[in-house]
Amino acid sequence: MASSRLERIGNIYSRVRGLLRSGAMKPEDKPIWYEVYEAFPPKVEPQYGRKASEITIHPIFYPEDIVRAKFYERFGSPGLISLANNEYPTPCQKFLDRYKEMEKGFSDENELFEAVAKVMEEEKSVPESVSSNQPDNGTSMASMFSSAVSKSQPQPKINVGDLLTEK
Amino acid sequence: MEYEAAVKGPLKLKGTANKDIQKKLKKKNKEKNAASLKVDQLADIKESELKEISDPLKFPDYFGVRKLFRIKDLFDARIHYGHKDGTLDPNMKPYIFGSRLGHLIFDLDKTAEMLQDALNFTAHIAYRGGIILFVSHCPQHTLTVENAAKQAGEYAHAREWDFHIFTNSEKVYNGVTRLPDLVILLSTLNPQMQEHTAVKDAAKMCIPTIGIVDSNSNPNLITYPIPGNDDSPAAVQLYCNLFRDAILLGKSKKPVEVY
Repeated sequence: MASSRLERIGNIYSRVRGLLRSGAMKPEDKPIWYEVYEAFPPKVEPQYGRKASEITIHPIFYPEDIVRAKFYERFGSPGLISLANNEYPTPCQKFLDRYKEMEKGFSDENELFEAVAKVMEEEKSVPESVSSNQPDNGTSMASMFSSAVSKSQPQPKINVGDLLTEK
Repeated sequence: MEYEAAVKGPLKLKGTANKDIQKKLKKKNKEKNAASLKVDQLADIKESELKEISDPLKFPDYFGVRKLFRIKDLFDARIHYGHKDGTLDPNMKPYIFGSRLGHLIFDLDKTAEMLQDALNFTAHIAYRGGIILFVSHCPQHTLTVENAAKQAGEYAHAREWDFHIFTNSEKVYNGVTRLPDLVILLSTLNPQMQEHTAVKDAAKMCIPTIGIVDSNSNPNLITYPIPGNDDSPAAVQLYCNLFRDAILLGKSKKPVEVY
């Protein structure tokens, strides 16, 4: 029985159809999937050398992301967040909910943010503000580096000769 | 070993299975023609019997595979998570919804549509008595895949792929072999991040493939690709359950064999 192993030419359907039409494959040897494929062809025909379409992948951003960025800048990360747990909202989510509630009363974004921050801090629903602490406790790389430099002690001078002579 | 059983079916030549089905379809058609001639007897035939003697291929969803899942199930199983921007295969661009801070997100509407097509195809192949082979090379998911195949009453190859088991099967197994009629790939990459040999080999041997293609995989050679996450255990478990259910649905409507 004939077969065609050229996977880069056409697809399995076109090859089997060709074999059947030419008589190389007998109708009783038709594969089981042939009729099913004819009835339900795939939405995109499989083809080895199909050129990729020129689609640009767009970044996904939401209007709330601006508030989220400000929140994390001010309050930092709460530590561990369980992504699987949908029951309890994270501090950031609670902040956003309160932000939406209080949105109508303010026209300026910064004022609104400060107002919500104040309310949440009073309720102690958010961690302590990062900027209100000393610079040593900052979570950014730059602040951590500068604090490490200031904390580091001068290294003792090691004389290798002394090490070797002393036993 | 299961992978031996996967390709070394009962000692039948390739055409025989089709002949059995041809015989069954001829019998069905005879019944159908006899029924259509006797017009007054049509009313006596119950609706369920009428459905059984008509061709399943003419119904858009004969086995009801659309009821097997909702888009929320895909979301909960984290199927919309792709890899990062840098590893994107250009052929996967049409299926990506967008990029969230570098992480690619699949368009679940498209995934759902393609998954329905794939499940429908699987059910029809199972209905027609086809051999279905589940293939995966991710060691993490070996147990999930093999269990799903066992429950479906089909076969699985979730170990290191032996070259030539499709292309030179008669030498490898020392006898006449029947190759699978459908290959379901739970991951189209092997642990070396290269395309799994089964993709190319199935295309060579004219075997249709259904494959879960992640954002770093190439869907071109796969007959019914399903864009989605192939790494999370929850995602793989969902796919295995869906394919197993589709196969069982197809088999449940299998016509009773009359010899």
